[in-house]
Amino acid sequence: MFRRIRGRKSETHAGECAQCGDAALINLRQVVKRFNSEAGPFFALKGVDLSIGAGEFVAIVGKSGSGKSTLMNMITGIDRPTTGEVMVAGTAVHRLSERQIAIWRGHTVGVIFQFFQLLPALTVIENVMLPMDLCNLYRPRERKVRALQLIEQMGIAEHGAKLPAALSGGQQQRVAIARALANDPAIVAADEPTGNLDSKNAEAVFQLFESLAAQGKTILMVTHDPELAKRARRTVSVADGAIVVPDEGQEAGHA
Amino acid sequence: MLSPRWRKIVRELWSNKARTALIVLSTSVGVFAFGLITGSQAILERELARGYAATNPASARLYADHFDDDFVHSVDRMPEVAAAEGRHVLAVRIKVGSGPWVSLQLNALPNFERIRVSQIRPAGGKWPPETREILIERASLELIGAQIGDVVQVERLDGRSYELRVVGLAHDLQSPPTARFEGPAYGYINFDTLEALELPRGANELHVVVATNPLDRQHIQAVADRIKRRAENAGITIAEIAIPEPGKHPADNIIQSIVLLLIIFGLLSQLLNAFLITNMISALLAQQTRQIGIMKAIGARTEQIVALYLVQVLILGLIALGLAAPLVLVGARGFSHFVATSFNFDLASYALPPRVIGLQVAIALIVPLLAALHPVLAGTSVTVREAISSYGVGLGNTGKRRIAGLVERVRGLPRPLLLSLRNTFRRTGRLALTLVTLTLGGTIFIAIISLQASLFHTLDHVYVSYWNHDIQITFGQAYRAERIVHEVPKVPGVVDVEAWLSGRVRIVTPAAATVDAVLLGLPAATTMVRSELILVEGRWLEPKEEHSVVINVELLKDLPGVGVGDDLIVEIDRRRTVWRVVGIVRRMQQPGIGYAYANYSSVARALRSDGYATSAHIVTTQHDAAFATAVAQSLEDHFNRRGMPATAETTTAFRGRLAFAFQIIVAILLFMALLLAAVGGFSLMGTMSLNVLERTREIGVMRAIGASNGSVLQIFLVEGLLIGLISWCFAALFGLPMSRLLSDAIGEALLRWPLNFAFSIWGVLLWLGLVLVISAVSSLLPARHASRLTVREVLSYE
Repeated sequence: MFRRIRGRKSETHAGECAQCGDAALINLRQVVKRFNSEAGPFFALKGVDLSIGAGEFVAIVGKSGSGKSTLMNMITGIDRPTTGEVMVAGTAVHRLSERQIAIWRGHTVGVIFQFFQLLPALTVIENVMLPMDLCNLYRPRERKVRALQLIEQMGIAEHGAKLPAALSGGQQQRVAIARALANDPAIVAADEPTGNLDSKNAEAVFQLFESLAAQGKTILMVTHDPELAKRARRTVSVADGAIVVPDEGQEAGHA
Repeated sequence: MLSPRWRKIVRELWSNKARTALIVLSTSVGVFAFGLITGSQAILERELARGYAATNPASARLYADHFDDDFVHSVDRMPEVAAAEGRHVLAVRIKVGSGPWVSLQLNALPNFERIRVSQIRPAGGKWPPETREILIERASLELIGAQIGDVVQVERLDGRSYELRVVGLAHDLQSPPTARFEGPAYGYINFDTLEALELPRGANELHVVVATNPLDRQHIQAVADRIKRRAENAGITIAEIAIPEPGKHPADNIIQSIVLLLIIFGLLSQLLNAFLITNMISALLAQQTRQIGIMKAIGARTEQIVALYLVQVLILGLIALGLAAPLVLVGARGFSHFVATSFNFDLASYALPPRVIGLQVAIALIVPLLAALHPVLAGTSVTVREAISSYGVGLGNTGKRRIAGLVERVRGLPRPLLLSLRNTFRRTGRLALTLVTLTLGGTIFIAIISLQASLFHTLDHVYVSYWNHDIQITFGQAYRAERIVHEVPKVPGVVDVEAWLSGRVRIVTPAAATVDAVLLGLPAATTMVRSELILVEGRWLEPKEEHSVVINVELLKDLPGVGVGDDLIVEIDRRRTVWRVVGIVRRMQQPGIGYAYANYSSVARALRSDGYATSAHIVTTQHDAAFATAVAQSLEDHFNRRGMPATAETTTAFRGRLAFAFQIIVAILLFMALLLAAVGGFSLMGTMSLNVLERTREIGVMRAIGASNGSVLQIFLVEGLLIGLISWCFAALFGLPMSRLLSDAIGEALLRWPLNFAFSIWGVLLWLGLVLVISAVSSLLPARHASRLTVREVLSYE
């Protein structure tokens, strides 16, 4: 059974995080996310507090509709909290404009999706070069070299000139990981990265995350798979819009 | 090397060939239409002005019975005159062998080697003509049916006949553009030949070019008045002074009016094209919402993505420009040539001025950019969360849902038809844009067909309803009215005749200027006019009414401030009389000439010609063109034999002359309407392609549950036809007011008055047929592609 951790009222000012230690890379404070629909308001997050340190490998688990993807979206700046604070790498993400968020995310977070989401018109190498191009990082000549290094690291170097449609799911996800790493972000956020892969490919992809964590990247991974979650250094369980702590065993996200 | 994001747009353009082709084609059509119009306008304006100026056109023409050489030279030496030249102009008729007689305006020139004013130029054969030789205006050759080398018979109005040899062709830019199809034809002889025709050597027209201010009408009038005084001092009576619009070829106004209308249609084609681009780009953005989200998720800023799509649109515009620009060169050349040939002038150069090229570039790039701006800004403003959760574009507001809701309530139709119906209203925004494009195209198409009907209705109205006569005979001088009325019925086929009297007068305007006009006297109980049909304001003349006039709109335009109830000062031979304006009518017989109609008795007294007439209006027993022409010919012969030189013209011939000008306009407008219809078709094809693309997975599901290729094809075909049908309903609805607007505008441009409006039901039905064909083709092409995909292919579609 899980015990619900109720959010506590914040006593800090916006942009500061009283609960977080200096080492915390990610701090969420009293984050509430409300969606308005025709059926009435729906609270996807109900006052979540969460701190994640630099270099941690965190698995975010929970049932479908529990709010885990919304929680991930708060951290990556893909979505904004209705109330509360989101501090990532010293930046108050919730206060940034859409334009600032795009720039910030391009430099700070590498995002990986369940369905790979590669651009179909671009080859593998071009997909990996795209974030560098968009964020104007690295000199144009270096971008291709770096992209080649990344796909080699992912074990798909021979597929560089192919279009995504010519690759298997596992290969496409490796390209997506390479793309997420293109700008050398501090955080890699993956939403169900193995959800669309067979067990062999899922294992291979997970191993890539483990090696990235070993290299010092902060890894956040939303997953359904309890076996994979167990292998993360820390598990954050989300249920009904709140972080829950298991009665025994697993470490919970602290409030 | 291109960076990945730019490569993305290039590849998407290449891989989505149908979409790229549709936008490029539509934009090309728009650029072509606009380039064609502006290019042709530039060529025609420049070349007509150049060609006309090169003939050194007369600033003023003075008419008298005879100008002797000494007088012509004295005018030529006046300091305010740059050049003065006399010529003898007379109306004759001409025929080749046993062919029909054709009216001919014969121009005798003193020296073909040195024509200084109103120049004509050699256009083939011998130049100059010698004694008993004649040159024919090149546009008249066909009408006469003569060849160079033929001996033709020329008959004076008094019936005396002579033989002349056609030795060459001349080009006379002063001759009216319609001379090519209807009489009179134009011929040119020297003064020796004039003597051979037993006419006195010498001029009866004096063509004058002013030395300064050649474009100042008032100055020209002042110089002409001075020449007139000089002539009167020399004992020469000036019958009339004509001042053509300075610096303008007589056809310039009509060409400019046509071009202006075409520009309006060019702008409309741009509007349609813009709708199509908005539609296509909206759909593209909706389709790529997820990709936009992904790009944002990996660091793209909104402005970068906006730039990507706008550059994509710019590339499409550039491709369209590349396609259209050479076609514009060819098209403008062809169209200018067509107009120039129709109006009998030459084009020395087809070069397009830089402004036209610049305008094409602007149209090709700016219109698509502006059309795409809103959908691009709206589509790229989506947040990453919205984009990756595939919200896409929904049905929108509740109003739109209401339509969809209504459609959902429709029951009792076969399932595939029901599906087509519901599908039609699934994307109401896209549907609305497509409907607007098709409706606009249809509305204009209907309006143009109705315009044609209005033009001919106006002609029929005037020549069948208003004018009750079949033939008009104009005499060389005034004859006793009684004698005319007595002689006419002697020719078989005549039912009724009326003798009218007309004379040139001057009307003094409230601003003390003078305006030339024709004062026309009609019998009080005329049966030749149905005035109620053309009355614009006031009333028609009443019997026995003295010094009351009804003026036509042409005269009214030259008399600012004058209206019904006002008095006019009419000057005849320096005698001034006052006439009261009781009504205003429209009249088309000779556009551009001011007419004042009054009771015969008043006019006869004013012109001091009591009991005389200058024209006869005749009703024949049969009203068809062939019969009237035969009677007109007999009447001409009859009067010429009796020493009463006359020219007869049938109402049908008059109608034909105006119909020719109208046909040119209608043909050009119809061409534009078809271009607009093509853009509308492209729009529908774009919509249907996107509908098919969006529903690829759905098609797969339908195929998986047993739908045949035919069923899939049918669903999309019916959907396309439904859209076409809805747009047709709107087009028929808006067609009426649009037709009225166009009819009024063309009437104003051509005749200075709105046309007699006629709405063409035939045009509405024709558009129904066309729009259904367009809809069927536009939906069949993409649906055929969809029906050929395998279930596996479509279900794996992402």
